[in-house]
Amino acid sequence: MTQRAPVGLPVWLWVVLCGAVGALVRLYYFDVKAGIHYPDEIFQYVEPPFHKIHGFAWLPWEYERGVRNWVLPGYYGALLELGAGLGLSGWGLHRFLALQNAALSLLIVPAGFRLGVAVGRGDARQGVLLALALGSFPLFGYFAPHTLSEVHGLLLTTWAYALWMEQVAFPDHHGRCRKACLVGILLGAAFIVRYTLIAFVPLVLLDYNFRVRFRELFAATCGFGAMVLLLGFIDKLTWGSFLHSFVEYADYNFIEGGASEHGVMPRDFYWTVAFGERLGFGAHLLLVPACLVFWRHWRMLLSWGIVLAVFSMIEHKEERFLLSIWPFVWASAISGALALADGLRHVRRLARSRYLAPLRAGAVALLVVCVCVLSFYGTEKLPMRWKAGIFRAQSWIGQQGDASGVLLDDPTHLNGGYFLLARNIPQASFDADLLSRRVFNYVAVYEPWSLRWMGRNHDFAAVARFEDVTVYRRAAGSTGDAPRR
Amino acid sequence: MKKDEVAEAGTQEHAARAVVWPRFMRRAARVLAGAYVVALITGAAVFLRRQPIIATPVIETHAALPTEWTNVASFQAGSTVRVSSFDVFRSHHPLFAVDGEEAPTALMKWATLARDSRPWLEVRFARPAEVRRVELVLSGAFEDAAFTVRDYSIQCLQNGRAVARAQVRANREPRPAYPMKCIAADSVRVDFTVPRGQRVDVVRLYEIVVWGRFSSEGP
Repeated sequence: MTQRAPVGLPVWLWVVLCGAVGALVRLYYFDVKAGIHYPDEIFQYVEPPFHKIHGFAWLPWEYERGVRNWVLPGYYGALLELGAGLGLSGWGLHRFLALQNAALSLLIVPAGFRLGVAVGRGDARQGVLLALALGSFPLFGYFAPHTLSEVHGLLLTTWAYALWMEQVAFPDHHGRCRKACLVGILLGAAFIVRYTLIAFVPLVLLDYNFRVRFRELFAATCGFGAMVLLLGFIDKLTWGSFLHSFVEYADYNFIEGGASEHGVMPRDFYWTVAFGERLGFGAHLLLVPACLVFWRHWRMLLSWGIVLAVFSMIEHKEERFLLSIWPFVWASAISGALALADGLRHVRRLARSRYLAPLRAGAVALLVVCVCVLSFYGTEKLPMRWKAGIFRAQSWIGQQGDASGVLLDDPTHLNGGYFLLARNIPQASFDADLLSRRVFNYVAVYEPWSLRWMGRNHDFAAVARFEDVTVYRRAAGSTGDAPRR
Repeated sequence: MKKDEVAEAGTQEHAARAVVWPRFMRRAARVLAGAYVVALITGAAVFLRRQPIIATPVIETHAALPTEWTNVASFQAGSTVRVSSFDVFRSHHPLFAVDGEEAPTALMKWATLARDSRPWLEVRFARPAEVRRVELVLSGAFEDAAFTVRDYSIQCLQNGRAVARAQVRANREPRPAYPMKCIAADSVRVDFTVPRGQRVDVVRLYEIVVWGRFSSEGP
């Protein structure tokens, strides 16, 4: 390997090009999709800091009991302040956060490059191919513009594993304890943003142990421990007791069995949905080369295999939970495919040809493109604008000076909250009984029966429409436009 | 083993030269990362210092303010409400306390957070008003009487200064009314005392009605 890869371009330029492809993919998804993938992205991470800033919000039970820590809400709090400084609120602020997360998720491209080089024991082509795969993988593009903890978890685990694999591949580099400490810090940060990502920790520590790298093991443990201590102190400051949120999380999910209250999925859910529905035949294109040459990248196979097995044992499953395993699925697949493509050496004409190396890389790049195309079609099945209409309606209503209350066609936890409304007035689920209450003078609905009901109600008139959502306003002169008593 | 070591040394040297980033790229990355971190720290510093006062907005109405005796606390009379806290988990919003509803649902009350040890509510009128009487509709009117708040004080305020006060102890009435005599009051404030660890440890207020008359001239 040299600094120059095929087509005479320097390696750094290939990485930048992968980043550019990744940016295009993220811009595409930022443009075509809006709203949410899951309500947690509003009510667990954005609504709490909004409450801290403005004093009003709707908060879920997790913040009453203290099941969540304040690290990610604090991060979004800082971003909310920056967005507000730019004059943004409601829908505009939501889009700002989405774009910010999409841009931040591009950090996976350099992480992918370093992971690929490390798995390939110094093969820059493998690094570039993995950077290309992680940059252009549609599933990452889909999740990137969302304020979900999985986006940060994905970045942190990928960087942690990239650095760890560099230590595996090049064990005698300088500053190995410092790097091991950084691995521990990154894994600790991943644990803080999403507690279940602790499943990524044991493999790294065991590997240091079995390779008799005790100094690195100590450094990584210290790094991880420092982050746990940090979490403990943050919990002490915000909830009043050390590691309160983690204890409550474990208590709720594992002792009380609360996780299953949110839905019990079959054991093979991740295989049928995350691999089958999302990748189709692409799942085989990834897994067959990965498994055929397993000895080249067994650590990568274990990386995602262990986590997949652990997550499959938890009764409540969601596709987003699995996001962090994909870089390692890709790393093992590309490593396996490159090894298989080495078979081109046995083609007599190519054996000594200068085109062998580019052909080998080109064949694997083709595989990456094929899987990404299949993944694109699989990802298209996911909701693209779920709740976008309600979000825009809420944001618009929040700007109306006469708005004193809003009825929305959804349960409280399935709208944009006060973060989107940005006005301190009551909002409640649409209920025909509440229509007669003067305080609720705006209604945003999309369900056919609600629309029929509103169509028959002469106290309200349609005033705006956002996607599938119609906004009604109480007509002037209807029930109590002036004080009644 | 020896062969492996040689190969490993080779790959390490190889990897060390895997990417040589041009200086402008390194500099740009550093500037970008630095700017992002500085922006985040600045945002976080502002965020952490926030101690907002919970206040409802002025609701624009097309009708002119009434000049006869009326409920000057109603949101439709242009009043705003400030509170120490509200139950953000169950949406018991402070605007419900001034919505003028005579038969509210269980949702339509102002309730405080359990951790709010000194709850209070302040209604600011659209214009200074002459106040005659303050009425409260407490939880006993629609729920279990055990939830009715017992101890509170009501103040008539003029530029933040109390000009009339009613001190209430051991209240049992679900709909108590208190005569007040204040001229040109701009707000009414109620401070509640809640005992810890009892059923009445949060305030549940369905309505506050302030009978008064707006001054003919603005403030």
